[in-house]
Amino acid sequence: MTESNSGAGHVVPVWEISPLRIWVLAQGTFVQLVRMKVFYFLLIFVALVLVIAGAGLFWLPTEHLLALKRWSFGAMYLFTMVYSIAATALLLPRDVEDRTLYTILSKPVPRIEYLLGRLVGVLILNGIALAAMFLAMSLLVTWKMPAVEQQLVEQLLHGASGEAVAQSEVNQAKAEAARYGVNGSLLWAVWALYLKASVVSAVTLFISTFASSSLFTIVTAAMVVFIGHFHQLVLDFWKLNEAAGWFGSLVARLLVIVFPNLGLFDIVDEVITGTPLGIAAGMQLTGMGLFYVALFVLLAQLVFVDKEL
Amino acid sequence: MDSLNAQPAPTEKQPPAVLVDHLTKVFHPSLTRQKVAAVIDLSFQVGIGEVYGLIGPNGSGKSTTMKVILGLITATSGRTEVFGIDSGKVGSRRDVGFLPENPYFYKHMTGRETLEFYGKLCGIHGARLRERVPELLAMVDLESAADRSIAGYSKGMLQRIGLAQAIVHRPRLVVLDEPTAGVDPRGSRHIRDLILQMKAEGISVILSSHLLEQVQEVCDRAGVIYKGRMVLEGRLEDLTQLDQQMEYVVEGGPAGLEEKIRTLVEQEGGRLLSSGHPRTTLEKLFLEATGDRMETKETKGTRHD
Amino acid sequence: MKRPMVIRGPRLIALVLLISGLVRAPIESKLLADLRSGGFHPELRGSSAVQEAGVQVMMGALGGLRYMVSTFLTLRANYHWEFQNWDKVLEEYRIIQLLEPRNPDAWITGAWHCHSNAWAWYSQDDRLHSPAVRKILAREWVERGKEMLLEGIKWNPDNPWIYRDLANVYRERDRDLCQAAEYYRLASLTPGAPDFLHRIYGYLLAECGEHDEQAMQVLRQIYDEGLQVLRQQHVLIWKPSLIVEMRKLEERLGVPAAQRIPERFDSEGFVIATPLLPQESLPVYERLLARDQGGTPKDPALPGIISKLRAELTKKSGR
Repeated sequence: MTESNSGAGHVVPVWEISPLRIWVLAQGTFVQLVRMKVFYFLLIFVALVLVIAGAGLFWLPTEHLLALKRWSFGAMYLFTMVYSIAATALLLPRDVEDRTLYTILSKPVPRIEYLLGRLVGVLILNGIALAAMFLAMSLLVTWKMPAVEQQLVEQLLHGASGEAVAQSEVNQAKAEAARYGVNGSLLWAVWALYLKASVVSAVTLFISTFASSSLFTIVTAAMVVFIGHFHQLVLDFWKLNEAAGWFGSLVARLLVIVFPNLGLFDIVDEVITGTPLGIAAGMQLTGMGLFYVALFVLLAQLVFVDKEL
Repeated sequence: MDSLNAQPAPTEKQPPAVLVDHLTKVFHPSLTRQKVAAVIDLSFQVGIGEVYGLIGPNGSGKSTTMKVILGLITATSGRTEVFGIDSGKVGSRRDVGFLPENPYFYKHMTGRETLEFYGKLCGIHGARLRERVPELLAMVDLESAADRSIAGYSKGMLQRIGLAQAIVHRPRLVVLDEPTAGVDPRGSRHIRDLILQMKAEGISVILSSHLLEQVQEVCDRAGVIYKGRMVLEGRLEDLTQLDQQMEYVVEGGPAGLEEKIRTLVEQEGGRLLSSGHPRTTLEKLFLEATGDRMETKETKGTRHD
Repeated sequence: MKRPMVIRGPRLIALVLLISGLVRAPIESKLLADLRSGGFHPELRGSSAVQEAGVQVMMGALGGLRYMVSTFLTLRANYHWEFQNWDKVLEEYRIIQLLEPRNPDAWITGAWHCHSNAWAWYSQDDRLHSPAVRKILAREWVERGKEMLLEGIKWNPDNPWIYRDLANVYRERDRDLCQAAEYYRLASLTPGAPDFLHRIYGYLLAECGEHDEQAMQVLRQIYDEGLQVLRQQHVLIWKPSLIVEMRKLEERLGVPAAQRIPERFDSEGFVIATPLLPQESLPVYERLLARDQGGTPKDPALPGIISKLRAELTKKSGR
């Protein structure tokens, strides 16, 4: 029987966990975050980014589309990372400080439901924001696509210096143009970004259960995120430099084991330049993301269940 | 006034509303600081339908005791139960409502949203919740401020909305930590009346307060905690009775009557300790002075002496 | 009272982290291997591991923000370009390349500023230095451009356009057609490369003069492919340049007349106007000859071909 702890180290059977209560807490969290002014400022910033990217500061439609996608994903990355860390870091410490946590936990609410409710609220916000930004980007890209196709075909004709151009080559140019558009791999890229943001939220939630303040949580979470990008670097470097010594390799291994591998989810670069992501790889990434979220929620619960309020 | 709940009369076989049995709580703040024993071997019970007052100076362990009862912290030793269920279990909180000292609620919510939020957490949804929330808002006189953000509420309004959320699910036990702190005398009287009504409905109440007069007015039993230990406990009438003294209030009578009474008492072996005109209380004066203005504003009834 | 547990607190957390890390390590390794085989997360190549480590640190630190930073740096580079501050242009692009090593445009544009813009400025601006010094400096910038493109190829080995640009540098700056041909060949071998890259490889191989037989093989293969398309789809995909280059190679290699490609193609009832009729091909050859004038003619066969065509045309017009 899988059990989870409620307050005071006591156990609540899984079937007593109420999805409805988690949903109530998630809704409350979502509304709380949306009503924070910082959310509006961030939205304005993102809109500005999209406007700049859509304004055509670049010479060629192909360059423009690449820049648009890069800036859009950059804005999505910024929004989700900032929100995943800052918003999650504010929740628990503020509830403890304001004692709103007492009022909630004095109701028949197991601590695991409180944690899940807060986390799900942040994940819903991230999901909606990402979906909106992706939709805006896709509309802009689709709007610009005819110009890209025209540019590539004209380049082909210009390069032919007035000679006849085979239809197969025109088709090749159009296929090249399609690479610049919206495709299934871009959806995977957004999904990977969302998975990464979810993992970062879960890590931040875990840190907030033992942190002394929101600031400590934010700084520590940012460091974990920073370190989490160096798994591959550490592994590759260690492989190439096996003579680094036992201490070095021990540190490398510990780093890789303890910190989440966030670099795995960084597929945006390659997707933007046209590398497709297969369904199998996408599902594996999803599994990895869910594993990390579950792990850090479990760790948060292990700390929070015994936390003296 | 709304009927808060209809409770069956307690029977001998029902467990007490609250059982605290040799409770000890020691805090370990950090490696460099000394351990703090906040509660030491504390024992008391709260019967069903009883109002129990927990009084003591700041830092005596009242809040710690309440937190253990509510399952917010764990006991170092001893046990606490609510209606026979261990306090640490989530189930023990199904029938408990809590108003913390200086309550804070989510500032981004309105009063109405706050009650809906806590109602849903207690398992009240749909039509039941839609009926209950306006009922509570009327009960605590916050109908006009229901759609205002909590951030704009005064101290007294926060206290009232806190009381409303504590009883949203019609609990059998209500824990009130300084319920009238920062509230004006009228609001304070209102809260006191609510407590008395809860008592009448058979709801058990644990109340901690520094305002001893109020504790005296509403509580059946009280316990005095000092430095984590229970130093005095019992029924209020027993605790406050001065057996060796009697009090008579006389109206009318000729001049010189006081001297005759003194002589009589001394003849019988007693001693007249004091005499003088009884005093009213500042609270009564306040209520009388503001009563007309409040009545004119709210109702058009006649004033009764 | 608390439920008794053997391990609680920080020790339990550490144990869970350790166990989960050990469990996920092989799964992550497999996932990483699968992603790498699909073209994601390239490995450190080892030749400059420290430099690449630095790049990875920067990429990890900035994450998705690096695109915005590199865009601003691009605008700054353009500003420096307007004032011909080539060192600053180079500096900006080096940082852009650090931020976006897998963006081919970062390498192509940066190199273009070196091998074309800076080269042209140093070559032509007579306010600076003596002609000899200008030539040296111009040459330096071309070399910088080539180095940049070679570095870009390391980070983007499957991008044809970096190879193409490098080939063009060899062709236009170094006049090394053989090396240019080689880079066009590499470009044509990248996944999804357009057909014309292979064709240009053939042309350059033919023009470089050192690999005539190999060039003939390449061009003949393209010609034969065109023939198939012509017969099956009645669509002509030969370029005039293909025919021109093949003619020159046939002359140089001394290919017997019977084995040469026909002047006019007429088979299976289709009358084809191209390959070029003499009156169409003559101007092309004359243009090629005119291009070579002012320097040593590259192709000794050209004058002979032109004479023959003129003779043929004169004969026809005389009839």
